[in-house]
Amino acid sequence: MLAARDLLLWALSVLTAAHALLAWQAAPAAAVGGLALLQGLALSVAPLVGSRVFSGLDAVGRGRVRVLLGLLHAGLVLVTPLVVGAAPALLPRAALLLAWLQVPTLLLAASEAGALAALMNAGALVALTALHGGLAAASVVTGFLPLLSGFLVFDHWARTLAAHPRARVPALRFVGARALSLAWPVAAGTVAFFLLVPPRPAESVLVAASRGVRAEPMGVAHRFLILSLLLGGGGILTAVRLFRRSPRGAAPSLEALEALPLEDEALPPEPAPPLVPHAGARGRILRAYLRFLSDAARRVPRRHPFETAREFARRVGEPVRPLRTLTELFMGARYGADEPTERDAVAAEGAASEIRGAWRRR
Amino acid sequence: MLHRGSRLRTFAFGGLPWVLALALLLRADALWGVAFGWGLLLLAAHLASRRALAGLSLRREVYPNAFEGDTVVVDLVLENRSPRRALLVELGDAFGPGHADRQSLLEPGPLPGRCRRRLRYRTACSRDWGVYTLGPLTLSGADPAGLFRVSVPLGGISSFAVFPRVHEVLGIERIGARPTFAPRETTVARPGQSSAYMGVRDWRPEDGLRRIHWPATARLGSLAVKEVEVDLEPQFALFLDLERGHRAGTGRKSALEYVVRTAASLLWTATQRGQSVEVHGAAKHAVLVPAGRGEAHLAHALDELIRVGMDGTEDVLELVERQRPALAFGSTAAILFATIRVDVRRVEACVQGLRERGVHPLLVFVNGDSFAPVDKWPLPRERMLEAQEQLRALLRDHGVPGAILGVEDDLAAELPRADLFAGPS
Repeated sequence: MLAARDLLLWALSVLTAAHALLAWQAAPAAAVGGLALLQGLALSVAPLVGSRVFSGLDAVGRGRVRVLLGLLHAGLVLVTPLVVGAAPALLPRAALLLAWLQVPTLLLAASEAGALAALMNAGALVALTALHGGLAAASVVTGFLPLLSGFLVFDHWARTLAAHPRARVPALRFVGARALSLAWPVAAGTVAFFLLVPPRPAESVLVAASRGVRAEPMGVAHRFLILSLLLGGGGILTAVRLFRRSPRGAAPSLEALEALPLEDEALPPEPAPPLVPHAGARGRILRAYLRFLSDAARRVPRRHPFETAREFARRVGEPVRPLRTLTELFMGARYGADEPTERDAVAAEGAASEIRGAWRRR
Repeated sequence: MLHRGSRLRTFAFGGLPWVLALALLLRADALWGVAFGWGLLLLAAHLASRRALAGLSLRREVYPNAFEGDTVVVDLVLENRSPRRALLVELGDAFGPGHADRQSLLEPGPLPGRCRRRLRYRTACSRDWGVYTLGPLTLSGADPAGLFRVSVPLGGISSFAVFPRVHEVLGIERIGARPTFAPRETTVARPGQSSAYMGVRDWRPEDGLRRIHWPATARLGSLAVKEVEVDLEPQFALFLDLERGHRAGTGRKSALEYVVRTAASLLWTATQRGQSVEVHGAAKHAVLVPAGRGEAHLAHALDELIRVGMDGTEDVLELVERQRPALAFGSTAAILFATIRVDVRRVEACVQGLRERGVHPLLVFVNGDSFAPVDKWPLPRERMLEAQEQLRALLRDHGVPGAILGVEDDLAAELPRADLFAGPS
């Protein structure tokens, strides 16, 4: 599971770095190949190196260095596409910077914070390539999003299984199928989007190209970049401080236990729905109640023959009001002497719909 | 709960507005494509999360009681009534007597559609005796990427009784109880209805014709019947002092704790020795467990025992007096006092009354004054020693088996002592 996760992260990193570097001609193809190998190497040693790096950072300033570095990196990847979009002359350098920055982030990718840094970096590289437009932009977006979906799926499984160390590990094909089920609509949707809207370069890039702007004013652009980084990092820090929720009370202690599977047993087939011999309002109420029973059978154990309608309603529990209404109307229609009115039938059908809606929302 | 990848979730949710902002500010078509694809990813994940727990239900099967420190086996039955297979489902339970607040199990799957799977987990009763709550059961799941979590509470709340840890009270030998494989064979040599042969006597009209012993009749030349002995079931009646005024101490070092733990061990030992046990206590809610034997009856008696509180108003000696006519000949009456402040003459009278009925008395005193005082001043040390000495003299003079237990006594070490009732030291 971890190997598949790492493989997807590597593919995602190589894809985005290669597209950004080649699209903006920031590095030759051979250098891109070397970078891909380096990224693979970083990812393979990440489990060994990552924890040591983090412990080393935590040893200095009680973790503040780590937080500071994280903020700087977040500020960099969030603000850079915006800044270089406004100053296209910086685009090749920004692509080069972020592509090389991907190597140290992959070194930390065994942890959640490291994986987040690598994904943010890759996202920024995608944004840089997207500014270029054309086939490069379309292909990087079409590749990035399905790979991101796959990575999230495998990472979720890996972390969940890590939280339950004694749980059985299912076959990889089941997880792969889940990843595909999430990735294919995204890939298909993105391809369809780009077929309908072929991507053009960003407006600022077009303007810069039309004016023949190449390398000026580099000094101003660099100052702009540094100022933006500081502002971006400060903004993130302020936002985190403002919106971070402090935990209320002590968190409940949780014990992850081993589940021993004993035996599997096939459930008996669903009985055929009974026919309602009544017509009119009485029949409508009975049919509404039977539809409710059929829906309920998918959520709670089936109603037993010895169980009264009220007992079953108590067992089902929620939603209380429509459940009570439907049960009382059913009792009246099934056992009462008086013929129910049209209004009763509408109320019963409404209550059954309300129950179904409440269950769908849950 | 399933793993909360909060940072990656934040990335997944925060990435979309970031890309949208870039697309708006930089006016790049490809960035709109990224935003569109990212939105599709979140939408697909959200839709998948709504199906994650569809058709799943869960119920618990567990034996409803155990002793302190016991390992408990809990079965969870997971049913998948939908036609789809279920993957990565987390089952949550709350086992009240356990140390952790909640227990969590992972069923990675695949659980085929229309299938029931039984899962078992083991946990321990880490908390002290009492009645605890089990549940609620919960089912948690998520979309394949874990971005949208769903958790459904399923009820399944029930109670679970934890009995005090019991020790074999070896001193009970002293009061005449003995281990036996066939306790019903214990009889007394008086004419009765048992199967134990006692002798032959002349036939009387009230005997009826069916009881005529024909071989003896032939030998004696007159009608004769066979006499059998009276059944004597070894009975053990336990009387608890639950008077409110005798409360003392807190937690594990309290009069109630000592009374309940000692009572549980006495009941356990008596049941193990084939005796029929009954319990009487006059708390706010009267404790009355009629005579019976076997493990099920013991479980019932212990279940009643762990629900008692020291909130009664009736003196335990009055309770014994009231129940005395119902005590069987040859049975044992154990009186568990929560105090040493007793009227010695009344105790003497009680012992005398029991002996007149052929009942063996057993007196256990818990020295409430040795515990931390709760609502009254403790006896001064001299008076406490004097009271203890009076009780010892009572036990010695009347040859009554008994013991005095105080805060300094570790019940786990004291109760198994063979000479516990030989006379307080």
